[in-house]
Order: sequence, then C-alpha cells, then structure tokens
Amino acid sequence: MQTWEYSPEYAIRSWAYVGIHAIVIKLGHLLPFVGSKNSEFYFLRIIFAFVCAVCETRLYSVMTRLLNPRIAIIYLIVSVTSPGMFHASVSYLPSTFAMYGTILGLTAFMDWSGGLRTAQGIMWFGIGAVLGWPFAGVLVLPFVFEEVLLASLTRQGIESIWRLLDGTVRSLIALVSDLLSYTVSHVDLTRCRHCKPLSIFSFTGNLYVYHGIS
Amino acid sequence: MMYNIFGGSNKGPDIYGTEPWDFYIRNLLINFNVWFVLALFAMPLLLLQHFVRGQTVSRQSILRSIILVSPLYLWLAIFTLQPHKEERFMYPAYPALALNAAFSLHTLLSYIGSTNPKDLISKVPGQVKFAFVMVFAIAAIDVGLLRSLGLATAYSAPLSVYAPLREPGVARPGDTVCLAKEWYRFPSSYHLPSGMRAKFVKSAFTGLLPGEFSEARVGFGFFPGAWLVPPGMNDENMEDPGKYASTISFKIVGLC
Repeated sequence: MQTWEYSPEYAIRSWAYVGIHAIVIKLGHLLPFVGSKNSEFYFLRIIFAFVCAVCETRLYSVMTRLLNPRIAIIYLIVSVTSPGMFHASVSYLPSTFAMYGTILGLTAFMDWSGGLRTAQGIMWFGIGAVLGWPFAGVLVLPFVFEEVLLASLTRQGIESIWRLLDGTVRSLIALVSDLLSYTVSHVDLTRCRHCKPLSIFSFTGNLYVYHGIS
Repeated sequence: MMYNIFGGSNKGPDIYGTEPWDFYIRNLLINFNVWFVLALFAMPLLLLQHFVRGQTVSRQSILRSIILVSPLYLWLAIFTLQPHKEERFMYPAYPALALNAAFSLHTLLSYIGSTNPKDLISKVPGQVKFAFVMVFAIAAIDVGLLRSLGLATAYSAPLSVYAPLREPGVARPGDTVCLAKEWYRFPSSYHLPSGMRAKFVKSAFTGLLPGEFSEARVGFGFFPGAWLVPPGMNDENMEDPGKYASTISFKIVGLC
C-alpha cells in the first residue's frame, strides 16, 4: 500500500529510511526462522528492540560514569518499565529512529571524558533527523547553544566553530544517502528522450531527473 | 517540512485532525504515569538544589545539567503549540523524559536521605523513609508494567485477527481481504499470506486512502514502484474513488 506522502509528486517521505530496513530484512533471510512475511515483520521488531537496548545501555554506562550511578539506575528503571518506551522502542516509525538518535546524541554530549564530543553529538542527532524525522533536529539546539555560550565565555571560538562544523559535516554524510534515495524515487528513465542507449557503466552520467525539469 | 509549515489553506497537518492543548500531558501521563510529573519538575528541582540548598546534583556542571534537562521542555512546548498532535510525535523526547525523571527522583532522594539536623526531613525515622520510597517506586513500576501488559493483551487484536488466514489451505494467492471503515487498524501487508492483497471498499470514511504501488516493469531505472507516480493522489486528504475495489471481485470478505 502506497500513501500519498510516498508519491514522487509530493515526496514527503524518504526512501532511505525504508531502504535501511529492507537491508535488515534481507540479512534476516539468512536465518532459518525468517522466511514468511509475518516472520519478517517480527524479525524487524526484534532488531529494533536490540538496537534500542544497545543505545540505552551506552547511555546508561555513560550516565553511571559521568553523571551519577543513582541517576543512571533510575533512568534505566523508567525506560524499561514505562509503557511509553514499550511501544516507542519497537515501532517502525521515523520518530523511533529519531529517538535512537536522541539516545546516542545525549550519550555523546554527556561524555566529555577525553575531550568534548560536540561533533559526535551533532552527528547522532543529525542522523536521527535526516534519515528519521527532520524536526527531531530541534533537540540538538540546547547543546549547540551551550557550545556557543562556552565558546564566548572561554574565548575559544575557533575550536568551537571547528567542532560545530565537524558535526554538521558528519550529519551531511547521512544527508547524501538520503538524497541518493530521493534520486532513485525521482529518476524516470522512460521519459528521457535525449538519452543514448545506456550501458550500466554510463548509468549515473545519464540520470534524467524529471522532477527538476518537467 | 515545507508541506507541514508552509502548506497553505486546505493543506498542512491540521486537515488530518487536531487535538486540544493538553493532549500530550494526558498522553504522557498514560505512557509514563508519575515519571512524567517528575520529569516536568526536573528543572525547578535542579535550580532549587543548586542555588537554595547549595548542593550539586551530579558530576556535571550546573550549566551542563540545565542543558541536559532542557530538551524535554523545548519539545513539549513546540508540539503543544501545534494543533495537529499524535502520540508518536513525542517519541524522540522519550529518552529526555526518562533522563529528567531520573534527575528529579535523584534530587528528591538526596533530600529525603538528608541527615542534616537543619532539614525537617531528618526527624523522620529511616525505616519510614525507606518504606515510603519503596512503595512509591514499586507502585510507579507496577502501573507502568500493567499498562504495557494491557497494551499487549487488550489492543493486539489487529495483529492476531489475520492469523487464521495464514493457516494452510485457507487463502490462495490472488485472494483479497477487504477493509472498510476500520482500515486504519490494518497493521501491514506483512500480516497477510504471500500473494494475498488488501483492498478497500467504500465506507463512512471520506478521506484519501492509500493506493497501490505500480508493479509495471518498465524503464531502465531501479525500483519503478518507487518513482512512477501513482494515480489519484493529492495532498489535501480528498477522497479518490479510484482507491475502492468493486465488491464482486472478492473471494474473502472480512472486517467490513
């Protein structure tokens, strides 16, 4: 079933997000118990649960070391027992993907052992925003504000700009993969009147993106 | 994003339903019960602990602590102002909510555990404090687990209702399941056996239904289903008669 957001005419949703999960299911076919469509559905949810647990374990361990062990254990109890995380952790939704980005982003910003990890933090929030839900990028703003504030107080502007730039560039890598998927959903070679017969090697050179022309 | 913010009239998120301003508060109380209340108090408690009681909350600086608890407030404020609200919109802030709740409870515990004679709480015997905290924590955990159990047992019908179709001999490739007013409860085509399809019949619903991916194998590009424009789509949630199947073609009719 195709919803209107996925129609190339509107292209509100990205295929990169879907593509990642398609790869996961393809890999799942290597397992003996993944075969029917129903098992694919639940296999993907199991992977979601595993990814979410890995992200949260990372945040928990950083909280224990750099915040306070008691805060960390309460965080873990809230996450594990609340019905909110019960359904949010395993949903096949861009919001859930963005949530994983939030967890890893928080981890990076909290962990300043061995230098500030601003770039890493921006990258995780950025990946969650670009491949998941663009609006989730708002969550990085308090941390960027702190970085700018600290830079202006300590007069280390150059290092700060460098860290912010570094993080932005890392997020852009995710954006490139997103744009590639956008191209896949917008390239209609049948409408290409001036294209010469294509060999597979000249394929990328002859892309006719009708979205920009028609 | 362009569509959601600069859509113009008859477009944008609001045509898909709006909710009152307290939707997220009610929703988060269901999803996080008392932890949500604690999460909202994270910032005041942090400031109180630091500036009034003169104690540090964590090993991070006060500035870093303030920054760490602020994403939840930012997120809640932005989405409360949007008329179109959905439960999933809060997902990216769930970890921030759990973090804030942990900050709050930790701060409260350090006050409750205080043995400083200047604090009133130090007059309360240790066993009473312990019992109070344990009852609070166990109640909060139980309410959360029971709600999760409730979600799994009381709301899982859309996941189990298609199971009989997967029994051997029930459905053949090319058969169809028809969906009517309850179409939005259809979890996904992954719950149908291979070769079986879901189609819609006309019901009380008058918005735009999902269509079908093109299965034409045309052109040289990859995944033609993704780049061929499906017919009858619009971004104003207007009904498209082409989305309905004629009822004569059904071999299996259900959920109508």
